[in-house]
Amino acid sequence: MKERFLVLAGVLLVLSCARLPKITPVNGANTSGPTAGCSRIYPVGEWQLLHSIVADLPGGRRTVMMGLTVLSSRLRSNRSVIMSLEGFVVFDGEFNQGLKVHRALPPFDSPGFAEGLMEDIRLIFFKPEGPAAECGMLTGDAPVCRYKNPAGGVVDIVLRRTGTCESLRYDRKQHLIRIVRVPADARAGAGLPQTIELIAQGEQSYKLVMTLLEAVPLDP
Amino acid sequence: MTNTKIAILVQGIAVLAAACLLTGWGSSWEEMKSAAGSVTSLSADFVQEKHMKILARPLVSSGVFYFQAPNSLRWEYRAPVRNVLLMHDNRTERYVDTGSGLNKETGAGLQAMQIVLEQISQWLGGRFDENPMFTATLEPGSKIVLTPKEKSFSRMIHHIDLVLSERPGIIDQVLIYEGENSFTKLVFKNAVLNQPIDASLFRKVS
Repeated sequence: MKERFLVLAGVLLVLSCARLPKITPVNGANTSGPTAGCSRIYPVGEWQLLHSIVADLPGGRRTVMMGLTVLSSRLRSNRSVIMSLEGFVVFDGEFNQGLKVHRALPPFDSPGFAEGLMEDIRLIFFKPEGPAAECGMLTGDAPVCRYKNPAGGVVDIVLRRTGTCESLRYDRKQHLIRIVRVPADARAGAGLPQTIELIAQGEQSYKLVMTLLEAVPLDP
Repeated sequence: MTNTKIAILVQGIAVLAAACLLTGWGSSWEEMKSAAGSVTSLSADFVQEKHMKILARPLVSSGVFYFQAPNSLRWEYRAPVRNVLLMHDNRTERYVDTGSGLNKETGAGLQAMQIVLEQISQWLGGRFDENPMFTATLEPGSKIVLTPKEKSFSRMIHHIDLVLSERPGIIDQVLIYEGENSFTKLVFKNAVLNQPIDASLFRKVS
């Protein structure tokens, strides 16, 4: 447990120094072209998704939960539920042009939790809106496209050499605050990512590893 | 009340239901206490359905549990995420498969489990009406309704229905209502009553 905490703390320490990197323009690189391969990580249509979530929290604590998300990529709306492994609902919230919390039990009722959770979920499941503001290469030959984030700051979509796709969210001060990582080989039967990793840093640092348990298409 | 406490409470309710499964029902609390007194051990498979308005189809979990009087319990989910709760010799431990096998869960909650364990003992003793957290009501149609006594607790569990079969001692359904739009249904099968259970099941996770 201590080792795991130290590793996580180390990762977060490194990340805490991360600032918005410069993009090197590439001839012919237009909006989203270089990272089109990362479109695969986003569900298209309407889905009911169930994930197990292993959460590494400050102080070396680790807990396992279930996350249920019902989403529409067209409407960019989602209903998200956090449950205990026994299925007890501790948080139930919805984002459809605005946030609505249906149920929030302690400690999931803390100020800012619902907003933060929804921002994480939307970073994971929805492709950034609109055309990329800038595309090119990062140091290390990684194709990248940069999008303005309506919540503030920017989101970089990066396609690593290994095929791993990353969504990197920077705040208004250009600090890296979220990393969503989807390995190249993490594909489930429905064509959706089998595993997704999210690392958060800032006032509340944590790491989530989400494993897809069930994907139900809701399209007629 | 912690999330873990609630979770274990739900498991306790399930054990209660399973205990009622075979012990034979009476028409009064006293008869139930008397009938429950004959339980020395119990095991069963279970299927759990989570129903919510937003779901296209319910979420299904399944597993197995073992109980040995007076207070040894193994409650094991085998799918979709394997996790095991062990209660034995006044110790409570929980193990969860986090992708690298079953690992002991650390952190808060064990004290809460201890409290719930006492409740499970009460239930298995048929003492529904002595539960400090629920008011129990016998209703027509062979139903026991458990309603939280504390308002803060009722935010988490609105009420629980134990629907009994027409056959004495058989329970058809356990329904745990969290609110208008969400409930959990537990169904038990292959129940075995008062047969020897290997004590290591309550001490070792595998």
